[in-house]
Amino acid sequence: MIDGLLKAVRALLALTRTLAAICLAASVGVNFVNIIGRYFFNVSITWAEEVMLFLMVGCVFTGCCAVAWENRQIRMDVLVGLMPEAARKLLALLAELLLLATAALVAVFAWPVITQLAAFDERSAAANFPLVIPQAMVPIGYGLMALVVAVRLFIRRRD
Amino acid sequence: MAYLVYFALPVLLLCLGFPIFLILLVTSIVAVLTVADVPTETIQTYMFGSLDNFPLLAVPFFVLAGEIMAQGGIARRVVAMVMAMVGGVRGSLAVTTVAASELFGAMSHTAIGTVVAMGRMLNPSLKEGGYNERFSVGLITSSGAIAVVIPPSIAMILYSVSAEQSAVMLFTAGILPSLLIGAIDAAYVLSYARWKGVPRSAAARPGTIWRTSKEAGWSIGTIAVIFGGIYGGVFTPTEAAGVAVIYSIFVTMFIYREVDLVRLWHIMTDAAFLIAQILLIVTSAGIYSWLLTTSGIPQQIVATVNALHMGRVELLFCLNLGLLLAGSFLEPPAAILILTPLLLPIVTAVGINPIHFGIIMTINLSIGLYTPPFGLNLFTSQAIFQAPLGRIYLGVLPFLAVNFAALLIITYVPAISMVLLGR
Repeated sequence: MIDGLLKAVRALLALTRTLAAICLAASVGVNFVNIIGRYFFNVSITWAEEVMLFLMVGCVFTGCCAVAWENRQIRMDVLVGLMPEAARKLLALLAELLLLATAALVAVFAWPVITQLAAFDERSAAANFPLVIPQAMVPIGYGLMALVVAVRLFIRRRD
Repeated sequence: MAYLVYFALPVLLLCLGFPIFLILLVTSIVAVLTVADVPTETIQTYMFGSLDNFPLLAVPFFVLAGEIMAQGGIARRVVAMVMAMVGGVRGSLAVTTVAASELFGAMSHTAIGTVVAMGRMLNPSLKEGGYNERFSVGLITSSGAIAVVIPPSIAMILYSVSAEQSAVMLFTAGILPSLLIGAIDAAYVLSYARWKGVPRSAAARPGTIWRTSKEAGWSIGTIAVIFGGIYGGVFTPTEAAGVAVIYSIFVTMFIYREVDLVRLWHIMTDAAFLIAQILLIVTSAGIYSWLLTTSGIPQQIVATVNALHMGRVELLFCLNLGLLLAGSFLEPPAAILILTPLLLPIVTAVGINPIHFGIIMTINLSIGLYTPPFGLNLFTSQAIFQAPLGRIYLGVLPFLAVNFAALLIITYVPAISMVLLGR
Protein backbone atom coordinates (compact mmCIF):
# COMPACT_ATOMS: atom_id res chain seq x y z
CA MET A 1 0.00 0.00 0.00
CA ILE A 2 2.83 2.38 0.91
CA ASP A 3 4.50 1.69 -2.42
CA GLY A 4 1.25 2.40 -4.24
CA LEU A 5 0.78 5.66 -2.35
CA LEU A 6 4.35 6.74 -3.06
CA LYS A 7 3.89 5.92 -6.72
CA ALA A 8 0.69 7.98 -6.85
CA VAL A 9 2.36 10.94 -5.11
CA ARG A 10 5.35 10.80 -7.47
CA ALA A 11 2.97 10.80 -10.46
CA LEU A 12 1.09 13.75 -8.96
CA LEU A 13 4.34 15.63 -8.33
CA ALA A 14 5.55 14.96 -11.88
CA LEU A 15 2.25 16.27 -13.22
CA THR A 16 2.15 19.39 -11.04
CA ARG A 17 5.82 20.21 -11.66
CA THR A 18 5.19 19.86 -15.41
CA LEU A 19 2.10 22.06 -15.25
CA ALA A 20 3.95 24.71 -13.21
CA ALA A 21 6.83 24.77 -15.71
CA ILE A 22 4.39 24.94 -18.65
CA CYS A 23 2.58 27.90 -17.03
CA LEU A 24 5.93 29.64 -16.54
CA ALA A 25 7.14 28.95 -20.08
CA ALA A 26 3.79 30.03 -21.54
CA SER A 27 3.83 33.35 -19.67
CA VAL A 28 7.37 34.04 -20.92
CA GLY A 29 6.16 33.24 -24.45
CA VAL A 30 3.07 35.47 -24.22
CA ASN A 31 5.17 38.34 -22.84
CA PHE A 32 7.71 38.03 -25.66
CA VAL A 33 5.13 37.74 -28.43
CA ASN A 34 3.30 40.76 -27.04
CA ILE A 35 6.47 42.89 -27.05
CA ILE A 36 7.42 41.78 -30.58
CA GLY A 37 3.89 42.47 -31.79
CA ARG A 38 3.79 45.90 -30.20
CA TYR A 39 7.18 47.16 -31.35
CA PHE A 40 7.58 45.51 -34.72
CA PHE A 41 4.02 45.11 -36.01
CA ASN A 42 2.19 47.77 -34.00
CA VAL A 43 -0.23 45.14 -32.74
CA SER A 44 -0.56 44.36 -29.05
CA ILE A 45 -2.35 41.43 -27.49
CA THR A 46 -5.08 42.93 -25.36
CA TRP A 47 -5.50 39.80 -23.24
CA ALA A 48 -1.76 39.26 -22.66
CA GLU A 49 -1.59 40.82 -19.19
CA GLU A 50 -4.60 38.92 -17.85
CA VAL A 51 -3.44 35.60 -19.24
CA MET A 52 0.09 36.04 -17.88
CA LEU A 53 -1.32 36.74 -14.43
CA PHE A 54 -3.56 33.67 -14.58
CA LEU A 55 -0.55 31.61 -15.69
CA MET A 56 1.42 32.94 -12.70
CA VAL A 57 -1.43 31.90 -10.39
CA GLY A 58 -1.34 28.46 -12.06
CA CYS A 59 2.43 28.21 -11.66
CA VAL A 60 2.31 29.05 -7.95
CA PHE A 61 -0.60 26.82 -6.97
CA THR A 62 0.61 23.79 -8.93
CA GLY A 63 4.27 24.33 -7.99
CA CYS A 64 3.43 24.51 -4.27
CA CYS A 65 2.59 20.79 -4.24
CA ALA A 66 6.28 19.84 -4.70
CA VAL A 67 7.35 22.49 -2.18
CA ALA A 68 5.04 20.94 0.44
CA TRP A 69 6.15 17.36 -0.35
CA GLU A 70 9.84 18.28 -0.01
CA ASN A 71 9.00 20.38 3.08
CA ARG A 72 11.00 23.28 1.63
CA GLN A 73 8.67 26.16 2.51
CA ILE A 74 10.53 29.31 3.54
CA ARG A 75 10.67 29.44 7.34
CA MET A 76 12.79 30.72 10.19
CA ASP A 77 14.16 27.48 11.58
CA VAL A 78 17.15 28.80 13.52
CA LEU A 79 15.60 28.52 16.98
CA VAL A 80 14.01 25.16 16.21
CA GLY A 81 17.44 23.91 15.16
CA LEU A 82 18.62 24.50 18.73
CA MET A 83 15.82 22.34 20.19
CA PRO A 84 16.07 18.63 21.00
CA GLU A 85 15.12 16.12 18.29
CA ALA A 86 11.83 15.15 19.97
CA ALA A 87 10.66 18.77 20.18
CA ARG A 88 11.60 19.34 16.51
CA LYS A 89 9.56 16.31 15.45
CA LEU A 90 6.58 17.43 17.51
CA LEU A 91 6.68 20.92 16.00
CA ALA A 92 6.99 19.50 12.49
CA LEU A 93 3.92 17.36 13.17
CA LEU A 94 2.01 20.37 14.51
CA ALA A 95 2.92 22.41 11.42
CA GLU A 96 1.66 19.62 9.18
CA LEU A 97 -1.61 19.29 11.10
CA LEU A 98 -2.05 23.05 10.99
CA LEU A 99 -1.57 22.99 7.22
CA LEU A 100 -4.27 20.32 6.88
CA ALA A 101 -6.70 22.36 8.98
CA THR A 102 -5.84 25.58 7.13
CA ALA A 103 -6.31 23.95 3.72
CA ALA A 104 -9.77 22.76 4.80
CA LEU A 105 -10.70 26.28 5.97
CA VAL A 106 -9.36 27.85 2.75
CA ALA A 107 -11.63 25.48 0.77
CA VAL A 108 -14.65 26.30 2.97
CA PHE A 109 -14.07 30.06 2.69
CA ALA A 110 -13.44 29.86 -1.05
CA TRP A 111 -16.52 27.78 -1.81
CA PRO A 112 -19.13 30.61 -1.89
CA VAL A 113 -16.84 32.73 -4.10
CA ILE A 114 -16.12 29.88 -6.51
CA THR A 115 -19.75 28.74 -6.79
CA GLN A 116 -20.90 32.31 -7.39
CA LEU A 117 -18.31 32.84 -10.13
CA ALA A 118 -19.40 29.58 -11.76
CA ALA A 119 -23.12 30.28 -11.39
CA PHE A 120 -22.89 33.72 -13.01
CA ASP A 121 -20.25 32.58 -15.52
CA GLU A 122 -18.13 35.61 -14.64
CA ARG A 123 -15.34 36.26 -17.11
CA SER A 124 -12.21 38.38 -17.22
CA ALA A 125 -12.52 41.75 -18.97
CA ALA A 126 -9.98 41.33 -21.78
CA ALA A 127 -9.48 37.60 -22.32
CA ASN A 128 -13.12 36.65 -21.65
CA PHE A 129 -11.66 33.79 -19.61
CA PRO A 130 -13.92 32.09 -17.00
CA LEU A 131 -12.72 33.56 -13.69
CA VAL A 132 -13.73 30.45 -11.81
CA ILE A 133 -10.66 28.62 -13.16
CA PRO A 134 -7.86 30.88 -11.84
CA GLN A 135 -9.80 31.61 -8.63
CA ALA A 136 -10.29 27.89 -8.01
CA MET A 137 -6.52 27.41 -8.22
CA VAL A 138 -6.18 28.82 -4.67
CA PRO A 139 -8.18 26.07 -2.89
CA ILE A 140 -6.89 23.49 -5.38
CA GLY A 141 -3.29 24.42 -4.54
CA TYR A 142 -3.95 24.19 -0.83
CA GLY A 143 -5.83 20.94 -1.37
CA LEU A 144 -2.85 19.47 -3.23
CA MET A 145 -0.47 20.56 -0.45
CA ALA A 146 -2.77 19.04 2.17
CA LEU A 147 -3.01 15.82 0.17
CA VAL A 148 0.74 15.24 -0.10
CA VAL A 149 1.31 16.23 3.53
CA ALA A 150 -1.43 13.79 4.61
CA VAL A 151 0.25 11.02 2.60
CA ARG A 152 3.59 11.86 4.20
CA LEU A 153 2.03 11.76 7.66
CA PHE A 154 0.38 8.42 6.90
CA ILE A 155 3.59 6.88 5.58
CA ARG A 156 5.57 8.14 8.56
CA ARG A 157 2.97 6.71 10.95
CA ARG A 158 3.11 3.29 9.22
CA ASP A 159 6.92 3.33 9.35
CA MET B 1 -6.79 41.08 21.79
CA ALA B 2 -6.02 42.42 18.31
CA TYR B 3 -2.33 42.82 19.24
CA LEU B 4 -2.24 39.21 20.43
CA VAL B 5 -3.68 38.00 17.13
CA TYR B 6 -1.68 40.24 14.79
CA PHE B 7 1.68 40.12 16.62
CA ALA B 8 1.96 37.53 19.41
CA LEU B 9 0.52 34.67 17.34
CA PRO B 10 2.75 35.14 14.26
CA VAL B 11 5.86 35.76 16.39
CA LEU B 12 5.17 32.58 18.37
CA LEU B 13 4.64 30.51 15.23
CA LEU B 14 7.73 32.09 13.64
CA CYS B 15 9.89 31.08 16.59
CA LEU B 16 8.46 27.57 16.41
CA GLY B 17 9.71 27.26 12.83
CA PHE B 18 6.33 27.08 11.03
CA PRO B 19 6.34 27.95 7.31
CA ILE B 20 5.94 31.70 6.84
CA PHE B 21 3.07 31.48 4.33
CA LEU B 22 1.21 29.32 6.86
CA ILE B 23 1.91 31.72 9.74
CA LEU B 24 0.49 34.68 7.82
CA LEU B 25 -2.52 32.72 6.62
CA VAL B 26 -3.33 31.23 10.03
CA THR B 27 -3.00 34.68 11.62
CA SER B 28 -5.33 36.12 8.98
CA ILE B 29 -7.90 33.35 9.44
CA VAL B 30 -7.82 33.75 13.24
CA ALA B 31 -8.16 37.53 12.80
CA VAL B 32 -11.14 37.15 10.43
CA LEU B 33 -12.83 34.72 12.82
CA THR B 34 -12.21 36.77 15.97
CA VAL B 35 -11.19 40.43 15.80
CA ALA B 36 -11.75 41.63 12.24
CA ASP B 37 -15.27 42.51 11.19
CA VAL B 38 -15.04 41.14 7.65
CA PRO B 39 -16.68 38.17 5.87
CA THR B 40 -14.69 34.92 5.59
CA GLU B 41 -14.83 35.15 1.77
CA THR B 42 -12.30 37.97 2.10
CA ILE B 43 -9.60 35.32 2.58
CA GLN B 44 -10.14 33.92 -0.94
CA THR B 45 -10.60 37.35 -2.52
CA TYR B 46 -7.35 38.77 -1.13
CA MET B 47 -5.29 35.63 -1.60
CA PHE B 48 -6.15 35.62 -5.29
CA GLY B 49 -6.04 39.40 -5.55
CA SER B 50 -2.53 39.65 -4.14
CA LEU B 51 -1.19 37.60 -7.08
CA ASP B 52 -3.40 39.40 -9.60
CA ASN B 53 -0.85 42.21 -9.82
CA PHE B 54 1.09 42.88 -13.05
CA PRO B 55 4.31 44.31 -11.51
CA LEU B 56 4.62 41.14 -9.42
CA LEU B 57 5.01 39.14 -12.64
CA ALA B 58 8.59 40.45 -12.78
CA VAL B 59 9.47 38.14 -9.86
CA PRO B 60 8.95 34.81 -11.69
CA PHE B 61 10.67 36.17 -14.79
CA PHE B 62 13.71 37.39 -12.85
CA VAL B 63 13.88 34.13 -10.88
CA LEU B 64 13.87 32.17 -14.15
CA ALA B 65 16.45 34.44 -15.81
CA GLY B 66 18.66 34.08 -12.74
CA GLU B 67 18.40 30.28 -12.81
CA ILE B 68 19.31 30.16 -16.51
CA MET B 69 22.33 32.41 -15.95
CA ALA B 70 23.49 30.56 -12.86
CA GLN B 71 23.46 27.26 -14.72
CA GLY B 72 24.55 28.50 -18.13
CA GLY B 73 28.23 29.39 -17.60
CA ILE B 74 27.67 33.12 -17.28
CA ALA B 75 29.30 33.54 -13.82
CA ARG B 76 32.56 31.96 -15.05
CA ARG B 77 32.87 34.39 -17.94
CA VAL B 78 32.07 37.43 -15.81
CA VAL B 79 34.78 36.44 -13.30
CA ALA B 80 37.34 35.89 -16.09
CA MET B 81 36.62 39.32 -17.56
CA VAL B 82 36.83 41.23 -14.26
CA MET B 83 40.00 39.33 -13.29
CA ALA B 84 41.64 40.23 -16.60
CA MET B 85 40.72 43.89 -16.17
CA VAL B 86 42.03 44.42 -12.63
CA GLY B 87 45.08 42.12 -12.86
CA GLY B 88 48.42 43.64 -11.77
CA VAL B 89 46.90 45.62 -8.91
CA ARG B 90 47.71 44.53 -5.33
CA GLY B 91 44.43 43.06 -4.06
CA SER B 92 43.08 42.51 -7.57
CA LEU B 93 41.60 39.10 -6.74
CA ALA B 94 39.66 40.50 -3.80
CA VAL B 95 38.45 43.43 -5.92
CA THR B 96 37.47 40.91 -8.60
CA THR B 97 35.29 39.14 -6.02
CA VAL B 98 33.52 42.39 -5.11
CA ALA B 99 33.04 43.53 -8.72
CA ALA B 100 32.05 40.11 -10.06
CA SER B 101 29.53 39.70 -7.21
CA GLU B 102 27.97 43.07 -8.14
CA LEU B 103 27.78 42.14 -11.82
CA PHE B 104 26.52 38.61 -11.24
CA GLY B 105 24.11 39.86 -8.55
CA ALA B 106 22.64 42.33 -11.06
CA MET B 107 22.05 39.46 -13.47
CA SER B 108 21.04 36.60 -11.18
CA HIS B 109 19.17 38.54 -8.43
CA THR B 110 20.00 35.87 -5.82
CA ALA B 111 22.36 36.34 -2.88
CA ILE B 112 22.82 32.64 -2.21
CA GLY B 113 23.36 31.93 -5.91
CA THR B 114 26.01 34.65 -6.03
CA VAL B 115 27.82 33.29 -2.94
CA VAL B 116 27.81 29.78 -4.39
CA ALA B 117 28.92 30.85 -7.89
CA MET B 118 31.64 33.26 -6.72
CA GLY B 119 32.72 31.02 -3.85
CA ARG B 120 33.30 27.95 -5.96
CA MET B 121 35.23 29.90 -8.60
CA LEU B 122 37.18 32.42 -6.58
CA ASN B 123 37.88 30.82 -3.20
CA PRO B 124 40.68 28.52 -4.49
CA SER B 125 42.30 31.45 -6.37
CA LEU B 126 42.05 33.69 -3.29
CA LYS B 127 43.83 31.05 -1.20
CA GLU B 128 46.56 30.62 -3.82
CA GLY B 129 46.83 34.40 -4.11
CA GLY B 130 47.97 34.75 -0.49
CA TYR B 131 44.72 35.63 1.29
CA ASN B 132 43.99 33.77 4.51
CA GLU B 133 40.87 31.63 4.65
CA ARG B 134 39.12 33.80 7.20
CA PHE B 135 39.36 36.85 4.93
CA SER B 136 38.40 34.96 1.73
CA VAL B 137 35.35 33.34 3.24
CA GLY B 138 34.24 36.62 4.86
CA LEU B 139 34.70 38.45 1.58
CA ILE B 140 32.69 35.97 -0.50
CA THR B 141 29.94 35.60 2.11
CA SER B 142 29.39 39.35 2.40
CA SER B 143 29.88 40.29 -1.28
CA GLY B 144 27.19 37.85 -2.43
CA ALA B 145 24.56 39.71 -0.41
CA ILE B 146 24.81 42.69 -2.78
CA ALA B 147 22.42 40.82 -5.11
CA VAL B 148 19.58 41.85 -2.77
CA VAL B 149 20.38 45.54 -3.27
CA ILE B 150 21.70 45.94 -6.79
CA PRO B 151 18.88 46.65 -9.22
CA PRO B 152 16.84 45.09 -10.65
CA SER B 153 16.34 43.19 -7.41
CA ILE B 154 13.50 40.85 -6.47
CA ALA B 155 13.47 42.39 -2.98
CA MET B 156 12.81 45.82 -4.52
CA ILE B 157 9.98 44.47 -6.66
CA LEU B 158 8.34 42.92 -3.60
CA TYR B 159 8.81 46.17 -1.67
CA SER B 160 7.31 48.13 -4.56
CA VAL B 161 4.25 45.87 -4.55
CA SER B 162 3.91 45.90 -0.76
CA ALA B 163 4.48 49.67 -0.38
CA GLU B 164 2.64 50.57 -3.61
CA GLN B 165 5.68 52.39 -5.00
CA SER B 166 7.14 52.45 -8.49
CA ALA B 167 9.61 49.61 -9.14
CA VAL B 168 11.43 51.73 -11.72
CA MET B 169 11.95 54.50 -9.15
CA LEU B 170 13.27 51.95 -6.65
CA PHE B 171 15.67 50.51 -9.24
CA THR B 172 16.90 54.01 -10.06
CA ALA B 173 17.27 54.90 -6.40
CA GLY B 174 19.23 51.69 -5.80
CA ILE B 175 21.93 52.32 -8.40
CA LEU B 176 24.19 54.73 -6.47
CA PRO B 177 23.84 53.01 -3.06
CA SER B 178 24.81 49.63 -4.52
CA LEU B 179 27.78 51.18 -6.34
CA LEU B 180 28.78 52.98 -3.13
CA ILE B 181 28.69 49.72 -1.17
CA GLY B 182 30.85 48.08 -3.86
CA ALA B 183 33.30 51.01 -3.82
CA ILE B 184 33.60 50.98 -0.01
CA ASP B 185 34.12 47.20 -0.01
CA ALA B 186 36.73 47.54 -2.77
CA ALA B 187 38.55 50.28 -0.84
CA TYR B 188 38.59 48.09 2.26
CA VAL B 189 39.94 44.99 0.46
CA LEU B 190 42.61 47.05 -1.32
CA SER B 191 43.78 48.50 2.02
CA TYR B 192 43.75 45.02 3.51
CA ALA B 193 45.87 43.65 0.65
CA ARG B 194 48.37 46.51 1.01
CA TRP B 195 48.47 46.11 4.81
CA LYS B 196 49.01 42.34 4.60
CA GLY B 197 51.44 42.61 1.69
CA VAL B 198 49.43 40.28 -0.54
CA PRO B 199 51.53 39.58 -3.70
CA ARG B 200 50.54 41.31 -6.94
CA SER B 201 48.98 39.08 -9.60
CA ALA B 202 50.17 39.16 -13.20
CA ALA B 203 49.47 42.42 -15.04
CA ALA B 204 46.57 42.32 -17.45
CA ARG B 205 47.39 41.85 -21.13
CA PRO B 206 45.30 43.75 -23.67
CA GLY B 207 44.75 40.52 -25.62
CA THR B 208 43.34 38.72 -22.58
CA ILE B 209 41.14 41.67 -21.67
CA TRP B 210 39.77 41.77 -25.22
CA ARG B 211 39.15 38.00 -25.39
CA THR B 212 37.46 37.73 -21.97
CA SER B 213 35.42 40.90 -22.53
CA LYS B 214 34.24 39.59 -25.87
CA GLU B 215 33.12 36.34 -24.27
CA ALA B 216 31.53 37.97 -21.24
CA GLY B 217 30.03 40.75 -23.35
CA TRP B 218 27.02 38.58 -24.13
CA SER B 219 26.48 38.02 -20.40
CA ILE B 220 26.87 41.68 -19.49
CA GLY B 221 24.42 42.41 -22.31
CA THR B 222 21.65 41.21 -19.96
CA ILE B 223 22.17 44.30 -17.82
CA ALA B 224 22.09 46.50 -20.92
CA VAL B 225 18.89 44.82 -22.12
CA ILE B 226 17.16 45.26 -18.75
CA PHE B 227 18.27 48.82 -17.98
CA GLY B 228 18.27 50.01 -21.59
CA GLY B 229 14.76 48.64 -22.01
CA ILE B 230 13.38 50.12 -18.80
CA TYR B 231 15.05 53.54 -18.92
CA GLY B 232 14.70 53.83 -22.68
CA GLY B 233 10.95 53.57 -22.13
CA VAL B 234 10.78 50.44 -24.31
CA PHE B 235 9.64 47.99 -21.62
CA THR B 236 8.02 48.02 -18.22
CA PRO B 237 10.13 46.26 -15.53
CA THR B 238 7.91 43.18 -15.92
CA GLU B 239 8.41 43.09 -19.68
CA ALA B 240 12.14 43.70 -19.23
CA ALA B 241 12.32 40.71 -16.89
CA GLY B 242 10.57 38.58 -19.54
CA VAL B 243 12.98 39.81 -22.22
CA ALA B 244 15.90 38.99 -19.87
CA VAL B 245 14.63 35.39 -19.83
CA ILE B 246 14.54 35.18 -23.63
CA TYR B 247 17.96 36.87 -23.88
CA SER B 248 19.54 34.52 -21.32
CA ILE B 249 18.07 31.50 -23.13
CA PHE B 250 19.53 32.81 -26.40
CA VAL B 251 23.00 33.42 -24.89
CA THR B 252 23.30 30.17 -22.94
CA MET B 253 21.79 27.95 -25.68
CA PHE B 254 23.06 29.48 -28.90
CA ILE B 255 26.16 31.51 -28.02
CA TYR B 256 27.75 29.58 -25.14
CA ARG B 257 26.01 26.29 -25.97
CA GLU B 258 26.04 25.22 -22.32
CA VAL B 259 22.28 24.67 -22.02
CA ASP B 260 20.31 22.26 -24.20
CA LEU B 261 16.54 21.77 -24.35
CA VAL B 262 16.52 19.03 -21.68
CA ARG B 263 18.56 21.18 -19.30
CA LEU B 264 16.35 24.18 -20.04
CA TRP B 265 13.32 22.13 -19.06
CA HIS B 266 14.98 21.18 -15.75
CA ILE B 267 15.83 24.84 -15.16
CA MET B 268 12.16 25.73 -15.79
CA THR B 269 10.93 23.18 -13.24
CA ASP B 270 13.56 24.31 -10.70
CA ALA B 271 12.53 27.94 -11.23
CA ALA B 272 8.82 27.09 -10.87
CA PHE B 273 9.67 25.49 -7.52
CA LEU B 274 11.49 28.64 -6.32
CA ILE B 275 8.67 30.86 -7.58
CA ALA B 276 6.07 28.82 -5.67
CA GLN B 277 8.23 29.10 -2.50
CA ILE B 278 8.33 32.91 -2.74
CA LEU B 279 4.92 33.78 -4.14
CA LEU B 280 3.07 31.48 -1.77
CA ILE B 281 4.13 33.93 0.93
CA VAL B 282 2.87 36.82 -1.22
CA THR B 283 -0.63 35.29 -1.32
CA SER B 284 -0.79 35.05 2.48
CA ALA B 285 0.97 38.38 3.04
CA GLY B 286 -1.68 40.07 0.88
CA ILE B 287 -4.53 39.23 3.23
CA TYR B 288 -2.43 39.75 6.40
CA SER B 289 -1.29 43.15 5.21
CA TRP B 290 -4.83 44.25 4.33
CA LEU B 291 -6.25 43.08 7.66
CA LEU B 292 -3.41 44.77 9.56
CA THR B 293 -3.90 48.04 7.69
CA THR B 294 -7.66 48.10 8.24
CA SER B 295 -7.28 47.12 11.92
CA GLY B 296 -5.95 50.58 12.78
CA ILE B 297 -2.92 49.07 14.54
CA PRO B 298 -0.31 50.77 12.32
CA GLN B 299 -1.92 54.14 13.12
CA GLN B 300 -1.76 53.35 16.85
CA ILE B 301 1.92 52.41 16.52
CA VAL B 302 2.58 55.66 14.65
CA ALA B 303 0.90 57.57 17.50
CA THR B 304 3.01 55.69 20.08
CA VAL B 305 6.22 56.40 18.17
CA ASN B 306 5.23 60.06 17.86
CA ALA B 307 4.64 60.19 21.62
CA LEU B 308 8.24 59.07 22.14
CA HIS B 309 9.33 62.29 20.40
CA MET B 310 12.02 60.49 18.47
CA GLY B 311 13.69 62.50 15.75
CA ARG B 312 14.38 61.07 12.30
CA VAL B 313 17.98 60.29 13.25
CA GLU B 314 17.09 58.20 16.29
CA LEU B 315 14.13 56.55 14.56
CA LEU B 316 16.20 55.53 11.55
CA PHE B 317 18.98 54.22 13.79
CA CYS B 318 16.49 52.08 15.75
CA LEU B 319 14.88 50.87 12.52
CA ASN B 320 18.29 49.96 11.11
CA LEU B 321 19.11 47.86 14.16
CA GLY B 322 15.68 46.21 14.10
CA LEU B 323 15.88 45.47 10.38
CA LEU B 324 19.41 44.06 10.71
CA LEU B 325 18.15 41.73 13.40
CA ALA B 326 15.10 40.76 11.32
CA GLY B 327 17.35 40.22 8.28
CA SER B 328 19.56 37.83 10.20
CA PHE B 329 16.53 35.65 10.97
CA LEU B 330 14.32 36.06 7.90
CA GLU B 331 14.98 35.86 4.16
CA PRO B 332 14.55 39.26 2.47
CA PRO B 333 11.27 38.44 0.62
CA ALA B 334 9.60 37.23 3.81
CA ALA B 335 10.93 40.14 5.89
CA ILE B 336 9.77 42.70 3.32
CA LEU B 337 6.28 41.25 3.01
CA ILE B 338 5.81 41.03 6.77
CA LEU B 339 7.43 44.30 7.87
CA THR B 340 6.59 46.82 5.13
CA PRO B 341 2.92 47.32 6.04
CA LEU B 342 3.97 47.81 9.65
CA LEU B 343 6.96 50.10 9.23
CA LEU B 344 5.93 52.23 6.27
CA PRO B 345 3.29 54.28 8.16
CA ILE B 346 5.87 54.97 10.91
CA VAL B 347 8.54 56.28 8.56
CA THR B 348 6.20 58.25 6.32
CA ALA B 349 4.73 59.90 9.43
CA VAL B 350 8.13 61.47 10.16
CA GLY B 351 8.59 62.53 6.55
CA ILE B 352 10.94 59.83 5.26
CA ASN B 353 10.45 59.16 1.56
CA PRO B 354 9.06 55.62 0.97
CA ILE B 355 11.54 55.08 -1.89
CA HIS B 356 14.48 56.02 0.33
CA PHE B 357 13.12 53.74 3.05
CA GLY B 358 12.85 50.90 0.50
CA ILE B 359 16.57 51.26 -0.22
CA ILE B 360 17.40 51.37 3.51
CA MET B 361 15.30 48.28 4.08
CA THR B 362 16.86 46.22 1.28
CA ILE B 363 20.41 47.17 2.37
CA ASN B 364 19.63 46.19 5.96
CA LEU B 365 18.19 42.87 4.87
CA SER B 366 21.20 42.21 2.62
CA ILE B 367 23.58 42.86 5.56
CA GLY B 368 21.33 40.68 7.73
CA LEU B 369 22.09 37.80 5.37
CA TYR B 370 25.65 37.62 6.75
CA THR B 371 25.05 38.92 10.27
CA PRO B 372 26.08 36.30 12.86
CA PRO B 373 24.86 34.10 14.28
CA PHE B 374 21.97 33.24 11.95
CA GLY B 375 22.39 35.03 8.58
CA LEU B 376 21.53 32.68 5.73
CA ASN B 377 24.71 33.34 3.71
CA LEU B 378 26.80 32.17 6.67
CA PHE B 379 25.30 28.70 6.44
CA THR B 380 25.60 28.70 2.65
CA SER B 381 29.32 29.45 3.03
CA GLN B 382 29.68 26.77 5.67
CA ALA B 383 28.17 24.27 3.23
CA ILE B 384 30.35 25.20 0.25
CA PHE B 385 33.66 25.93 2.03
CA GLN B 386 33.36 23.28 4.76
CA ALA B 387 34.79 25.91 7.13
CA PRO B 388 33.94 26.09 10.86
CA LEU B 389 31.16 28.61 11.57
CA GLY B 390 33.36 30.41 14.11
CA ARG B 391 35.93 31.17 11.40
CA ILE B 392 33.20 32.42 9.05
CA TYR B 393 31.80 34.66 11.83
CA LEU B 394 35.23 36.20 12.40
CA GLY B 395 35.73 36.54 8.65
CA VAL B 396 32.55 38.54 8.07
CA LEU B 397 32.98 40.88 11.06
CA PRO B 398 35.19 43.47 9.27
CA PHE B 399 32.82 43.43 6.28
CA LEU B 400 29.88 43.83 8.63
CA ALA B 401 31.51 46.93 10.13
CA VAL B 402 32.40 48.37 6.70
CA ASN B 403 28.93 47.74 5.27
CA PHE B 404 27.20 49.05 8.38
CA ALA B 405 29.15 52.27 7.88
CA ALA B 406 27.96 52.33 4.24
CA LEU B 407 24.40 51.73 5.46
CA LEU B 408 24.59 54.68 7.86
CA ILE B 409 25.90 56.94 5.08
CA ILE B 410 23.07 55.87 2.77
CA THR B 411 20.52 56.21 5.59
CA TYR B 412 21.53 59.71 6.64
CA VAL B 413 22.37 61.08 3.19
CA PRO B 414 19.09 60.51 1.31
CA ALA B 415 20.54 62.32 -1.72
CA ILE B 416 22.60 59.21 -2.55
CA SER B 417 19.37 57.33 -3.21
CA MET B 418 17.24 60.22 -4.42
CA VAL B 419 19.57 62.26 -6.63
CA LEU B 420 19.00 60.13 -9.76
CA LEU B 421 15.26 60.63 -9.26
CA GLY B 422 15.82 64.39 -9.40
CA ARG B 423 14.83 64.91 -5.73
